[in-house]
Amino acid sequence: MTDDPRFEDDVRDALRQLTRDPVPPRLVARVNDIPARSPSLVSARVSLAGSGLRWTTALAAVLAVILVAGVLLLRGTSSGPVASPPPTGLPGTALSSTAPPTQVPSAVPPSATPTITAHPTAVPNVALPADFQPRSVTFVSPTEGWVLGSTACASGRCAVIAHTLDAGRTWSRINAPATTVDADARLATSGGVSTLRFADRLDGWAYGPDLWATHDGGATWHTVDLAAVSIGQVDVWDLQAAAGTAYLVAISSKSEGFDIASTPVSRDTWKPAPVFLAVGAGPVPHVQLVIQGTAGWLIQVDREVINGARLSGGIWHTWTPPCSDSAGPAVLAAWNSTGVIADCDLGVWSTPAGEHLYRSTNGGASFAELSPAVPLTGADEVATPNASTIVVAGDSPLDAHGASTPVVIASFDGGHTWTTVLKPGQVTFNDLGFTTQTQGVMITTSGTTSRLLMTRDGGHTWAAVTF
Amino acid sequence: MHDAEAHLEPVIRRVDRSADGARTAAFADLVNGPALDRAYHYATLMLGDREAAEDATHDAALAAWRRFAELRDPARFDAWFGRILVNVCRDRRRVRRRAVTSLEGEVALQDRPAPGPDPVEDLGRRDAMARAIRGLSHDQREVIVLRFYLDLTVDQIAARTGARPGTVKSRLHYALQALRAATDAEAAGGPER
Repeated sequence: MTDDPRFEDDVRDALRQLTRDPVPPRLVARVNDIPARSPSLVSARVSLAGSGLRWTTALAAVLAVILVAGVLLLRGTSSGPVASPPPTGLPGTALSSTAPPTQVPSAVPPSATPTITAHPTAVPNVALPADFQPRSVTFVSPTEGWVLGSTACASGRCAVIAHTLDAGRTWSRINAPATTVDADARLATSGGVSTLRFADRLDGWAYGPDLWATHDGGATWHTVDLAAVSIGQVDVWDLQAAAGTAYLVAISSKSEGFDIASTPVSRDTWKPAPVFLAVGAGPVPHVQLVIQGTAGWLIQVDREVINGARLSGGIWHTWTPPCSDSAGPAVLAAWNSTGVIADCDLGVWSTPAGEHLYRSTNGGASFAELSPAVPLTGADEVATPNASTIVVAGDSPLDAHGASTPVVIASFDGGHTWTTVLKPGQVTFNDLGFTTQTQGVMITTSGTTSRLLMTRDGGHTWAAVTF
Repeated sequence: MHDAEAHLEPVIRRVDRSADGARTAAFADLVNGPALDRAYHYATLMLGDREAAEDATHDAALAAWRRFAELRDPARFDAWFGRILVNVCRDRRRVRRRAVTSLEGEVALQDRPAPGPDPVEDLGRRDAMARAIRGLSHDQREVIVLRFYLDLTVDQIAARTGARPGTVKSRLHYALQALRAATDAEAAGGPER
């Protein structure tokens, strides 16, 4: 490495100096508490146990028995109420879940917007709590959308849902699932939800890792039984809906990978797809589901692209995603059923070669590289409302000190040139997506504070939404 | 795969009660042994922030607990957990982007007696080195910390980071070169500043 052992000793000495602090007792307690919060690989998880709460083994065991009994009783039956068919004013579009972060609905003609004078689920005169923090956003039309957020409660952060009928200008509180809100579905041991998706004005789901559904516009919510999808404890990692069908990706404590399932949006008769993704070699898997109309793409990334599946003609097929041999992760977005882009961090696990953008115009059958490279050191979220506009949220290039900062950049000429459109500070991004050609959303989070941002000019400018 | 620890790659298997026992034992070792110290300190060096390091270590432990069934050989828990931690820190760096300069407040070199013939010179050198480490890119700092703090070999670093051994060597070379350049420059200009 070097011919100067003293220099290496200096490096060791400096590193030791930087790590003189003992492990905080709080960390020891938190790690020590993990087994108590998730008592068994085979037991059921219990919702409403916030991070600060410790389960008792007895309680977990009792609830596990109850859950198993419920599974046996409900297996093979619909677990939710059957609602009337949703409004169908938007045929062929993915108006459903706004998509973020994975899908970008096509433009929606204003005339297609359902006319709604009063929402049945609005809670009259009930304001949003002062500490409301948005976590996930979904729009089904240019005017109607919902935000899953949280408020402090005895269990930690409990779910609150805000609803708008005027494109985010005013919001009212509606009923929400009686559960907690988690920041990261992958790491949640206590259950709860982290993301909200509506397929239309009646049918929606709050998920990650638990799954709750409503088929009456949020007036009532119920947990969904996924025994037909997989056995054991089933965690939902992604869910999107379009063209009357909802799709989810789940992993269970007893499966060997990710299961895909689908249901008509008006009920919860989830049926597994024949394709399933084996877990990759890396230690921290991540899946992304993108749905556009009747087309869809699923990609698993675990340090690098692992595998994928493609929905075509209503059937899921195994699929080799773009950048599968690039030793780095990839993020997908689609602007219609054939137009897909992939932002790939090439060689991040071998020889870093930066962010590159690829585009498919044949539904993901093949991809061609767009040039030049995307001026980022890492991409977290990508959205594209059309073939020309691409918005990417990620890390800026490294500065002279080797540090990068969060930025949102956009290209309005199909990836040839890029402009920084937002420098939001030290934040994380989620739910970046477009509802129409010009209207889009994203959520930024910094510590315990988060904001919903919207664009109404196709991604050129973004402004915080007031609740 | 170019992974020297390929045998550690997760292989999902049916979970049974004995796996629970192995998992509980592994976690007891993690909490009571030096592994948690090493993990927390690694995260501190990589993220430059105590709070972020605490969260990252916890998240890595949580992920390890939830995915323990994927560990083929429980005896290799430490290395497997180390890989998870490396990835959690990478994820957190990407999403939190804590400025590396936040390590500034973490260093308190002055209150430690300095060995060596010239304590003042020694202190200055270590202080300069700490600043130089802070200035490294994430990839370079990662290999420096794994090599000189955790004392891993090149092959072990490759296994833990997913990079090829040649890439690890290259990163180490350039990282040490950058450290030397930074400390030399500071030494040359130090007295005047």
